[in-house]
Amino acid sequence: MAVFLPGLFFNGFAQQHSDSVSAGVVTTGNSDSTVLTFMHIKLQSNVYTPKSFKLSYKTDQINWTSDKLIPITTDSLGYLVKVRIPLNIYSLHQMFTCDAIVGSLKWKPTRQDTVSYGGVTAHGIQLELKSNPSKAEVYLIPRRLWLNQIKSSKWQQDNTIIESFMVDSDKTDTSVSIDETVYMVIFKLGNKYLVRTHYTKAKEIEPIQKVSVDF
Amino acid sequence: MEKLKTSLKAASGVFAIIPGLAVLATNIGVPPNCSKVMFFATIESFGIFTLLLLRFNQDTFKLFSIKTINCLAIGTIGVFAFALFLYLYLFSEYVVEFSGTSPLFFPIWPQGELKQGLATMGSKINLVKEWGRDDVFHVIRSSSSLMLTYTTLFFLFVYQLIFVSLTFAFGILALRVGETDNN
Repeated sequence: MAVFLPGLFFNGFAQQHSDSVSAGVVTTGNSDSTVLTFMHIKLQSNVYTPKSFKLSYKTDQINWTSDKLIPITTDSLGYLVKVRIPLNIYSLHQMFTCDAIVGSLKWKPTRQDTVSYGGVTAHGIQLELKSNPSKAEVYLIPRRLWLNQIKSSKWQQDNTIIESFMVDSDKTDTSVSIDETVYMVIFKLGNKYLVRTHYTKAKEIEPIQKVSVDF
Repeated sequence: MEKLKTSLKAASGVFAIIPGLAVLATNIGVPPNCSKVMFFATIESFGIFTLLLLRFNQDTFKLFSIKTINCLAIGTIGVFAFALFLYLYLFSEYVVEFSGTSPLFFPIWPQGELKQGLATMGSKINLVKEWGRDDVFHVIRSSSSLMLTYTTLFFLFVYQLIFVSLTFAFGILALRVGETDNN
């Protein structure tokens, strides 16, 4: 097996979700809680064609492996995947191991294989998303992608353009964990959309940030 | 005169050895996300190489006229000044710092999406303001990683030149002083 250089990095946002609490309330220390995380996985070599990925975190006490992560889309930063990470692991700020499930090795195209794909450190800024009235759908789109691909498209008529960026199935009020990227926050209530730009500040300056709208 | 010769030799040795150790201990002058060990090892290697070059060629240098030695010393001090100003300029231009977060290291020759973004936004600061620090970081890595490597090597070359030129200037003057004593 060829040596595979670490090629994974974290870039995106994560939604904190718990079945045991109402939407928008962040629970910590509850092992049932999960954090929905969007990550970019960068391909370092053209030898492999990854079909999907798996994240894992293993210590003496914890043995966690994600479901199979099929890329939502591919852009200049790599493969965009969505993964739910248990909150108790996510909050440790530890590095996750990533494996790529390879669809076709060039010299053996029919074989399915798993190759080591480096690691990722998850760390986030808490972003509270609120609307009045509540129960609005929320989409988070990196401003770079918004300006280059989505702004000029007919995204209001064709919701599939932005649906990959939806903050899971939860509706406002809710809370997500993001990195230091500028995001366009789209709120949707019925057929009405409201778009806000969130200029994310550094975690050290403002660890909890908020975007709210009135419909 | 013997004291002056010793002082110049000591200065030459100090400029060959100490800067690399200072880099290793404090990370001073090393661009973000670059290996301080690589900077340390390069500066030390080139410094010691210069000292050895002076030592093994001292007989040749002693054949040079005083005027030639002076020209070489003044020239290398000029190289030092140029390298110092160039490095300070490069660092201020391509290492962009923000309050409360890690600085970003931009390539001198941006490519692809980064080049396009810089052209659209007009400046590095505007790009970071519009896209966000982490997004720009990843775009630099994804679109201009090779150019970032070349930029790091260029930084390394200019940085070591600062200390190598000082080592050479003081070393060759120490030989000159020794030669005067012998005469």
